[in-house]
Amino acid sequence: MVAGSESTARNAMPALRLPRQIASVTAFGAALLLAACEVPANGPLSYQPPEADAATTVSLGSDTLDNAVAAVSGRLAAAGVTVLSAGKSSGLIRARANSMAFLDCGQITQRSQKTTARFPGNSERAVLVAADFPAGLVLRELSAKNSFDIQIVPRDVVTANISQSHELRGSTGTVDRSELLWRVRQVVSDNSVVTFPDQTKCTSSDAIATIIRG
Amino acid sequence: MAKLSRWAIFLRAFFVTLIIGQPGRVGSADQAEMRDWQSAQSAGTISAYYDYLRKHPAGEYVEQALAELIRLGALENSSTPRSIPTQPAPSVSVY
Repeated sequence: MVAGSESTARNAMPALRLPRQIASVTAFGAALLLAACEVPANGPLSYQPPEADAATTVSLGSDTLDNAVAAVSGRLAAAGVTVLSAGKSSGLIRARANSMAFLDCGQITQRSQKTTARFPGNSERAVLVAADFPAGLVLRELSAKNSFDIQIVPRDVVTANISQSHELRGSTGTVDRSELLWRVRQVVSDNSVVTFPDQTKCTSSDAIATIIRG
Repeated sequence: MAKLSRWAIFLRAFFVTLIIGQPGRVGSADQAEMRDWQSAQSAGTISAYYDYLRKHPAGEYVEQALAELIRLGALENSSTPRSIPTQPAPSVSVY
């Protein structure tokens, strides 16, 4: 009886496997087809503007002012941010960096010869396909000088009030950098939004708040 | 019951494949980029470096790819005009 049951179960397995395999293969095919589908866009470039809403206040829990200043300064330094001053009695930390990571500039999608490439708008260097230009390409470059004032406030729950400012430099030109299409200098303060001549936009990202939270 | 199980398998496989199959995922992007860069380097042709740049416009090796294109004379041999128009182009359209 036992042996018979085993035999029945073993014989039944192939019959059960087939529909499962079909289901998996069908799902695989359907998913691949759906993943390959692209939202039609006008022209080779499309753009998703930034959605960042950078936090201006970060809760640090219960701690002394002294400890909170030391902890935040340490987190900033560990993340590569230069701490210019850290007032243990005033609670004011001044810091700076040179990174586009503190900015959110949305996402650019480029379609060229059946190839779709997506990249962050805050990329320090990107090559865009532009048929009318030498080599059929233009080079888009961005850089930033970031300044941060972080005021630690000792209340029941210690908080850090963040003020950030970014001096942004952007340019687009030929890939050998011999000719410029545009070059601009813009300042982003906290949640303000700047627009470049190519209609891309940048605002502060939440990166500094993430570092401060630890 | 067996029908329900098949649907569960279908949905699980569908979503897993959909997530993995999406282009531009960070995890696989680095490996794919490295592969494309190595492929461009082995070919060593203008079209191979163009292919790399088309796939990775903001990639890790953009600077090297451009240097190779310049070295291979892609700029000199280009039939496209060298004059830069006054109006900024290409602009990125917002959708």
